[in-house]
Amino acid sequence: MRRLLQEPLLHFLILGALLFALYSRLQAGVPKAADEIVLSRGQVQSLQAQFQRVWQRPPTAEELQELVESWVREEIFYREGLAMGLDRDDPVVRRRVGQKLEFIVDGTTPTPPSAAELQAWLDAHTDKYQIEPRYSLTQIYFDVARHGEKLGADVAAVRRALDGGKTPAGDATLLPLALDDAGASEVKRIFGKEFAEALKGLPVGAWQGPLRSGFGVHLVKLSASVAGRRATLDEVRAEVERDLLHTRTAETNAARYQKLRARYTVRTDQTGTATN
Amino acid sequence: MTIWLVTGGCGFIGSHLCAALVAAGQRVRVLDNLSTGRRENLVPGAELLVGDVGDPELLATPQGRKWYDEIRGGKGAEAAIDIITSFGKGQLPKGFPVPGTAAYRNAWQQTIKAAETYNEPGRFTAFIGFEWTSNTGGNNLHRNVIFRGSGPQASLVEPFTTQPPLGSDNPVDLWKYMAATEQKTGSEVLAIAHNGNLSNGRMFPIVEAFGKKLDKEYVQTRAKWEPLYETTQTKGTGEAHPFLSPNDEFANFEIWDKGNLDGSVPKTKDMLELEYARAGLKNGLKLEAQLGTNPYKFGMIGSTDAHTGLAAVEEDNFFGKTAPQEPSPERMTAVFIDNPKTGVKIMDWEVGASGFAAVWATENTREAIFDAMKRREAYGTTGPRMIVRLFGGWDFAPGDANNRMPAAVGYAKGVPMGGDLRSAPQGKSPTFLVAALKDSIGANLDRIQIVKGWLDKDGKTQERVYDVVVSGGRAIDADGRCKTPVGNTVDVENATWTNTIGAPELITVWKDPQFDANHRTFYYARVIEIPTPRWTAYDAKRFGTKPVPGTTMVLQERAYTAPIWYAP
Repeated sequence: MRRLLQEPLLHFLILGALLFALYSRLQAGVPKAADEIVLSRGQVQSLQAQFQRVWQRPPTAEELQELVESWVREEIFYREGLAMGLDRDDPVVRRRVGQKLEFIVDGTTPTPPSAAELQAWLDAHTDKYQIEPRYSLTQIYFDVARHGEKLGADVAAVRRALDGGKTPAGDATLLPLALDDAGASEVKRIFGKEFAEALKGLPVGAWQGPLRSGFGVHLVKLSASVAGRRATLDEVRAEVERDLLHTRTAETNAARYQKLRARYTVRTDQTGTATN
Repeated sequence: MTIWLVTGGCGFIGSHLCAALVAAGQRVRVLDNLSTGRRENLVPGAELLVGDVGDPELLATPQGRKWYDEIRGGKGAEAAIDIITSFGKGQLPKGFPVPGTAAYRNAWQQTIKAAETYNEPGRFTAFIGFEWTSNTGGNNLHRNVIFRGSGPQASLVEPFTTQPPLGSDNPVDLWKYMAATEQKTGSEVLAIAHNGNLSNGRMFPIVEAFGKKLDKEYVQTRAKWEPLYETTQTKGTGEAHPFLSPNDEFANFEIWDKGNLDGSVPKTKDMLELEYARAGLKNGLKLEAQLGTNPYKFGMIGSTDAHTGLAAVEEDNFFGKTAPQEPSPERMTAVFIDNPKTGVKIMDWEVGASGFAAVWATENTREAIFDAMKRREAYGTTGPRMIVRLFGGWDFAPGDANNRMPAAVGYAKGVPMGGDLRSAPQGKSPTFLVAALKDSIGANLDRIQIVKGWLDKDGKTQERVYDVVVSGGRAIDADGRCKTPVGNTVDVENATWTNTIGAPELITVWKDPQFDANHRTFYYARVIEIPTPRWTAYDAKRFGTKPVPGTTMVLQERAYTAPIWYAP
């Protein structure tokens, strides 16, 4: 008996039988005849699991029956439709099948880049990773319509008062009267591009202007101005990695398509096609 | 006895393999990282080890291992081609994602991944969410479901669909899904409906919905999950309708009232009350009186609903709603919806370059913005990036409008947009501090209005529009209306305009002159810009296209705030 149990042939036979059983089991979902629909235990479990992911509870017996029935219904329509060739020349089916292929092969994560690769990417795209200028400022606002022709004189008067150490008010406004360490993009968002551009290189510590914005004109005093500069890798590592990976994925996808494309000969008949 | 180790045994194929082995009397041990596999798939009788061997399903085979190594080694394209070739020959290893398994979930995973990758707290907030596209019979009940939480939380569930038996086209079922989702993920969620104007009388029901009479549960549940409503977007604006608000001369704005989304059923007048936001806000007061909860206590936002991947819209740079409406000489004369059976036809020129959602959040993060949306502290615009403030209280005085920081006095003395006024002091009327600042690169403002809606002593809904502050020193008459239009600088032919009329900002304190403390009431602000060229004017100029008769070429952009409600 012990000898028999150690017999490789027996092992082979048992394993073979097991594989055969397994194979037929796995094939259970495949129709044995055109008019037969078999749902394996696994498929039913899958329907159950799908339900559970949506509803966070297992289906009731009734709901499960409904899931099975709806699956069967879909399967029958699908088979009948296939038999009629309804999948052919259908742009939706065509696109969906293509999408599924992309889903499957898109799961390929590119290799995480090394520090040297990140640095090289940063060096090649310095304009994308600028640390923007930052400003701390106080502003006095003048509503153009309110002052009319006297605008220039009124602004000059306030300017003189400011230079004389007084603290005159401008017109009431919803615009912030001061910004503390605001990035250029924030200044632009609040006051508009023209105003933000005008701050570049403006002397610090004294009242300047008038500067124009979409709202009117402003007298501005900068208390701090930090020029923009190139970012170091440590400051923008996450963005650099994200953008590099994004590009690599796009390149992989493009290369994949080109390889596939190379397997085909494409002929287009464009006779009688109008173009401009 | 042999112990079988099945990697990825919680996946679709893996669990089948386990089932077969267990059935064959074998001991099975499953290794799965549960990233795509599900614990509930574990076959009874098998042991589970949670762990990772790269991609367990795929790595179960030498071929899978080879591909894995190739991908890691930067040869993703080669691996992909090999995968495709093997698939074609029917030689894919068991465990490879096939329909019904992981690959199907990829779309949701990619959505989550995109939001996670580009979310930069403090700088750029990207939410995880999906659209639930209920559209049975062409009647639009679409809702966007937004998650407060993170990717790992959202990954625990899948989006709700509209197809039975797994999904449902009834919002009541969506709300059940949302409750279960919060339970499972620990992430709060909310839903924002849009395009009631294409629901053919189904967006804001007042008697029954989906064959069921509205009851306490319906109104409570809706109020819980839907704090905001998208009032304006590319497929028309749904704040007010001229038929419902004949005394509101600004109500006729980007209206789509010919039928439902696919034009299969033409619109009838009785549907309008059940699909425009202002009517919904009014009927909400009525339902609150009947059922104890106001189901339509929502703030208003705008969004684009663009399918172009572009988040922003501008009249002078409008890339359309979907790719076919990208700028071209033809788009102004093309057809967007055409249902020859019903005669419902909507032209591409009717698509609006609208709108934006604005939220008053304490910081630029998912959590803070979500919480602000939940408390309805939000407003919508039809395109300009205006700054709009609205506070309500009992003690705002005219001098508060001179305050340089309206928010400071606003929060100190009242509640912001989306809030509630309660316990009216004897003999006092509600007061409002309202302010608007124009878009820094946009047009000046014409006026700010307060729209008031209430339930009168006979249980009937009423509405009234007040002009509360106007530009250029124009008079506001005793009836609360300014009868002088702001003017018009638009040169349609050249698609130009100037900011020589209107005001860059407007602010005032307004007191309701006809307040009755016994009436349920709401107030919201509407800010109107001076006239500017519509995108169609820019197209006509740039492409030299002759517009079809009736094409709108000039518009007055606007913003709507969430209301402030008063209840006796």
